[in-house]
Amino acid sequence: MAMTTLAEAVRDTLAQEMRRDESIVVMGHAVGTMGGVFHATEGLLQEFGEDRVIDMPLDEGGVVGAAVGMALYGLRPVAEIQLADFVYPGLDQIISEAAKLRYRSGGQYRCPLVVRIPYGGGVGGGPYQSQSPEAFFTHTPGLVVVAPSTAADAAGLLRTALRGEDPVVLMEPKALYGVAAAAAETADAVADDQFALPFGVAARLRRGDDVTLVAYGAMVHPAQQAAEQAAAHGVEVDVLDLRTLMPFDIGALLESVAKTGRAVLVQEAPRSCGYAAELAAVLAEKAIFHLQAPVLRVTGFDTPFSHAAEHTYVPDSDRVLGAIRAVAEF
Amino acid sequence: MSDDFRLPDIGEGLAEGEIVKWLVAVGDTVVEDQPLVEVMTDKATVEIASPRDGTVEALRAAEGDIVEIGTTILVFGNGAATAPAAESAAVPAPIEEATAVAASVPAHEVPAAPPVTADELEQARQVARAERRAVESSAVDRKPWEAPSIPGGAVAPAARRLAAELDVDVALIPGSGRGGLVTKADVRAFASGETADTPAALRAEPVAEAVAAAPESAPALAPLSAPVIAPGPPAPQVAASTPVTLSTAAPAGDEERVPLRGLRRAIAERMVIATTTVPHYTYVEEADMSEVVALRRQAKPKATDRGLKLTFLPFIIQALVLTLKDHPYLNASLDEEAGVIILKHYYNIGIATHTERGLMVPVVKGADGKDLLDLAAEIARLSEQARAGKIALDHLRGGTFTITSTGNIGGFLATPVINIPEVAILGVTSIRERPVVRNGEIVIRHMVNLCLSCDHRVVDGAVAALFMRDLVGLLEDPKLQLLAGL
Amino acid sequence: MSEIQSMLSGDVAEVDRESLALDDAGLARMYEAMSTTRAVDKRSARLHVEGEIGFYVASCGLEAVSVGAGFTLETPDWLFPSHRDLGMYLLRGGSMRAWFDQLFGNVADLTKGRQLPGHASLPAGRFVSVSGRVGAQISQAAGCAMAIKSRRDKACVLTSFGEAASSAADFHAAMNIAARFRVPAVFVCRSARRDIGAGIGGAAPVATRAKAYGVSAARVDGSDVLAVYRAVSEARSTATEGGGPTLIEAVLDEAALFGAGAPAAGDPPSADLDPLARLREYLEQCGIWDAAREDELGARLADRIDEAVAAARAEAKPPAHSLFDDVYGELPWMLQEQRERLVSGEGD
Repeated sequence: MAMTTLAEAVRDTLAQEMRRDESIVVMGHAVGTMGGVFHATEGLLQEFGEDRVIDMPLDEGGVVGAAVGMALYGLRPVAEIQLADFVYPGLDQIISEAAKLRYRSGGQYRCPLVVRIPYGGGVGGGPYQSQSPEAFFTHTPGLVVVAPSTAADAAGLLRTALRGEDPVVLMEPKALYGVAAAAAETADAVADDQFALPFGVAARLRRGDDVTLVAYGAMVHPAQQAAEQAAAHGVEVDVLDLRTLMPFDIGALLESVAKTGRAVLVQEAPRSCGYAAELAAVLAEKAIFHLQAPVLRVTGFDTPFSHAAEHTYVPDSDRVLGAIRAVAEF
Repeated sequence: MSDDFRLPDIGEGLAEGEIVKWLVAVGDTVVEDQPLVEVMTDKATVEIASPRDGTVEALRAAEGDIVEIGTTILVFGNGAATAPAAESAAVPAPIEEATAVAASVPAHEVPAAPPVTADELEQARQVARAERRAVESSAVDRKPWEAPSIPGGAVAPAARRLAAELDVDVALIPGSGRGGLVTKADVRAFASGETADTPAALRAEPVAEAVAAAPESAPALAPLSAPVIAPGPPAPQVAASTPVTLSTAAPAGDEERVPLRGLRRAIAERMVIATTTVPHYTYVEEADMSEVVALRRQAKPKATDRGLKLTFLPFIIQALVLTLKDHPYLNASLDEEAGVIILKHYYNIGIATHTERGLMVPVVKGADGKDLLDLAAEIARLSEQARAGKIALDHLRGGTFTITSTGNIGGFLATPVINIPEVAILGVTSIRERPVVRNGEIVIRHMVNLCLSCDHRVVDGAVAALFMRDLVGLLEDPKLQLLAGL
Repeated sequence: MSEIQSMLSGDVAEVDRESLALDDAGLARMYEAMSTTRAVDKRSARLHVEGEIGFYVASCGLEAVSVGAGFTLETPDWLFPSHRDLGMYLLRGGSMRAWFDQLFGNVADLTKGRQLPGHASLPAGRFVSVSGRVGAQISQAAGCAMAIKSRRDKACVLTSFGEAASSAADFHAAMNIAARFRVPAVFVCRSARRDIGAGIGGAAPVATRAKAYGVSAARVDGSDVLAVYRAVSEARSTATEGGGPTLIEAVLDEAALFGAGAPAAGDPPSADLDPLARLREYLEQCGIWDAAREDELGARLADRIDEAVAAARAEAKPPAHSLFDDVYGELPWMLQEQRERLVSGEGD
């Protein structure tokens, strides 16, 4: 039996939710007739019609701006940005408008908008199809930012977003779009039209007492591989899949690092001022007397994403394992 | 806070402990600071107290088990625990309007009379605990973003580095920071204090310490220059017990099998290390203790006045310390890895003490600063504590020279084993009246054989001999001690 | 097309009352609304000049646009206004007291003192919270109109902005979307009367740009409230009848348009350009208004404004801990922590 892929999980969840809630509309460039550049909206136009699955002009600012207007009217728009690299024209409507409408109106207005953003490298996309700009969003008060690492998580997080009242940025790891659900249970989770994952709760994918390894999105998989390799060397790794970047599961993070005293944080985004820096700062503030080694970040480099150097740039299990060893042997 | 209670790090250098006795049972409700369990290490038995209020859901170790530091030994039930990650379904809840914590802890009313009996004292403690809990519980249940409590014995990172530079053992430094944190100031104060201690480098390496391999190029490590703690000498790892064929062989006769546990086991391990890594030899000289015998008789009434028993040990220690001052290589340690012989200018004399559970060596610190009766008092106190199993770890560490005496039992000659990381040990056999030749005549004198075992890496035979000559000289003619140091 | 429509051209007899569908009472209400707008705006500007509030952009001289357009709207219609649409705010049911509360940013302000003075918000009137970035509302308006159309709602969207915003990407996005989806939207742009190509405007009148997108356009005299009213009414009918969007360029005297930077902020334009004066003159000539009513209105407004200002001024500022509310639906942990630290005085 073919397992649902991450992209299919997104599509199926959208369809389930759109059947349940008429106010949900999907919009973006090529989401309708083309079914989305990654097929995440395939078939939706046929089922729900062009009033609810809207092909928008190639203008991210317009897509998000119009989505904000729809949300104010009372709809629940799901705006698709074709690639994270193209989100920037829409950044103002996300950061200045969607994220601030509730606050600036004293709670009078809500903006229940979901912006779906395929992100990340490893697909041969070069500098304009591989970026990971999640830090712009996690640094914006008022936005919920989530990053699933599996088909089931994508379904669960998207469903929660569609039932909530906050604007949500859903960072979809495009390298994993084609990856099928790992097991029958997770496939069932996707098929279950009530399966929802709460925001702010990380998943502990592996238990270990020696090192805490934190990752999200596509980086969860090299992280898990590295953890397995580390186990073969006698280093047991606690692997945390954050799932929600903001607000993140600080309880899980602190509990794990208090136990292990050694933390490795993984992101494919450029290193400086990236998301992992926030986790490192939190650990320095709250867990410094539990730390047995410096907190290490395994990250992309402070360069634009290079097509030719893709495999050097994106952290792999070897680099993660190197960091695990470094903290374990400190 | 986790529900799991793990065996805490009781003291550096100790990687495991034996569960001697559980003080709570499954189902008990416990309060913070309540003693949970007695744990024996290779040096002492300690009581471990509860870090929190809660109920005992499960005990994960049995009495007699040897447990590694960090292993879960007890599981708390659902008291003030927060839900573990990935299982809680709660979306962050809206905070209630800020309910002010109780304005102040109610002023502790001074009881009419201070608690006198143990019961009253315990009651007073309970009251204080209850008050504290009242204030704490009026706050919200422990929040997920709260920093985990600073672990006992925690050392500030900068302090740890400073300690390594100053070559002091952080674990011996009392912490004055929050939660007992050891700060840089604490390190400096300790380092300039009188009782400097064995540098970290000379401890027996704890089993769990990983050997630092060169990490792969992780750029983040580059800016850190020095490792935080100097690695110790490559002491042989105390191997996990390999199966010995003896235990599987069929008994050859009536046998009783006593598990090698606790102190006995620790002694066994330590003796193997001492005798296999240190080149021992023993130099024996006899000493005429007649003058000391007479002195002791004179001093006894004074000792009795103070309720003290005066043995020969204080006399020997006084002479010993004076002699060590002139022979510093016998009051030393060898750091092979650093290639350094550390000559110590402080005098902490270990007194080998026989206890029911095995040999313990409490240390009389600063023996050079104590008079005869002080020494007697200290020796009595320490040996009583050791025999009762209540001696603090601090009193079992830091020695620079050890005396082992079987004089009260017997003995003609001994070849004592050096108490590593020291380089010499003085064995004292029993003082007996023997015929000796003085000025061509046979006389009866109180004689004793003093048996000095030395580490030949540091102390050559002639050095030992010179030392013994001086020591014997001070014992045979005690008034020479008055002239020592001039 | 580039002819600027007007109605109040000076000769009363030439005003085509028929086309307005406004009776005397309606006209009087319109004038009252403009007067109220003027009075509140002047008072707000005075508060700024006197240092009682820290920021204010006057909308004096723009009453014909805000009231003229606002008067056309019906209850289900949506507004995506700019920060110079006080007239629309009042017409949609906004109270003076709430306006001044927002200016003072006090504890009674429904927007909790979060925005600069003059950035109103009124869900009951479907008056969307005004953004601090000029133009952001325009593309939102287009989206809202899309929603209205998709739900077969019998409403329209009105968005108001200045000429500067017509250079913003949002204007382009909105025009593009509005035409593409033929949405029920009316775009009202206040522009300055000047030579083509001069000043901050584009190379062509704003209205002509609409054509490039396929959006109907009209140019009206921005200080002629009846002309504005008529043009917007027509546009609204077009919109609600499925005829698609319209861009209305309301052309104003430059001094009125840039009132805040004009010689004396909040000073009305000269009588021939002052929208209030022009309507009043017409009403007086029609016998709908007179000096007595003018005085009465003036006194009534003064009292109401004084009362509202005094009450708003007397209110306390919002409590510090309210800073953390409304960022998210529920307070996430980091805001809980930050709030606790602030409240306890513990610091970071």
